Amino acid sequence: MKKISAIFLSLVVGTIISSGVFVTPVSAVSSPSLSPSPSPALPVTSSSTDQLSILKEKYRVQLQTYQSDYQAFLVAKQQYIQLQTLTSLEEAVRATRQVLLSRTDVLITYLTTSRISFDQTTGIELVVKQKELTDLDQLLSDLITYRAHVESALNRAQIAAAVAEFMPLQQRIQTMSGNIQSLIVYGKVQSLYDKTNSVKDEIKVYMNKKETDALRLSQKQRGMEEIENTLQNSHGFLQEILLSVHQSILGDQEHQSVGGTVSYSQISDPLGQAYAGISRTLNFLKEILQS
Amino acid sequence: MRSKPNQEPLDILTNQTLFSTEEPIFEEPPHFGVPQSDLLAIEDLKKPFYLRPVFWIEALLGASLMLIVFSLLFAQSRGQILKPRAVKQPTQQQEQQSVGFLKRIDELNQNFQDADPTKSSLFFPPVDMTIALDEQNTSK
Repeated sequence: MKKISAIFLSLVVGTIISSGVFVTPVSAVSSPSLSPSPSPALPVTSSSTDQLSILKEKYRVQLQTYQSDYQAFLVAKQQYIQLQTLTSLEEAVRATRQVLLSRTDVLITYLTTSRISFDQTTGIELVVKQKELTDLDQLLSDLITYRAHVESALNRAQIAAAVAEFMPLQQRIQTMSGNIQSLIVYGKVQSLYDKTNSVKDEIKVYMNKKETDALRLSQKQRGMEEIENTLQNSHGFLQEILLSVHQSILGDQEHQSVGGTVSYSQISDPLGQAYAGISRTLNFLKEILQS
Repeated sequence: MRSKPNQEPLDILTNQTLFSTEEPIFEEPPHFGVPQSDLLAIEDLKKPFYLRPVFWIEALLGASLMLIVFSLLFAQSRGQILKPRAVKQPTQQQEQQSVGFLKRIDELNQNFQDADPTKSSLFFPPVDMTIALDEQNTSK
């Protein structure tokens, strides 16, 4: 009888122990794949980056040359005013021609650098970007033509004509520079918003799949709602800027005739608000992931 | 006064107040046996094991235990019981995903620094836009 009981008990115990063999390890339970997709690569080619480096170095050298020529121009001009001789006039015309050339070189290099940076910047509406690039190319072409005129100017009258020719170019250069800088800053923030929004959506799906504790899930969902509200506010500010850019650059014929102006002061306030909202969103997202 | 030796029950032997004349005649002697139990009856020990109640109680318990164990195994094989407990702990894949997201947020933070609207690498060159030889047109 004892033998039968012992056999029976060992059978039961053996069954329990052997059941452990079939228990699936906890870590082996797989969840649906939700690996974060790799972040999209920036459309920056190495050749563009190299070109930018070369242009920046060229700009630095040209600026030094301009500063030297400008000092020489001031001295020559002062001597001509004081001496009123033909020699001093000749020297003043030569110095003016030289400084006009070096200034044009600086401006051409600066605008070329701006063009490459602007072209590389994502987050700008294609229509706006194309319009500004076309205008910028036209301006660079006009500057190159202007430089040729200055180079061929050899007397006082021709120099005076070159100075007069530069007047309308000056306004276009300053307007274009302001537009490009504002749009680059806006584009960077808009691109950052787009990426943050994309990451937010992926984290939201991941969080709903991962979290099984109802209380924690509810807490995280409330956090996610706050993130979405913050991002929505940033989106509103960016839309405000976009509307302003549209009105200025792609607006009526009156605006187009003067090239359209997007000043930084015009967009700085909403841009700062959108930027701060994105900053808060990134901090919130990190907090949710680490909790 | 003497009692018969073959008729000496306990009380007769111990009760010295009894006399031989008061000796009960044809009375059954008292029985001094072990108290009987329903479960551990001496007769039961002599029975085959399958007729003993203890065997059936053990068998019932064992069968119940086996039923529970096999039910658990069956349910687990269909992924119905242990799965929620397994999901509670983050798997290695989930950890990797979380690290991946944190890495992307760090990259966005770097982009965030680069996108600071108050910082620009394209300052307008410090050049005099009003250079002219004639004095009336010259201004810095």
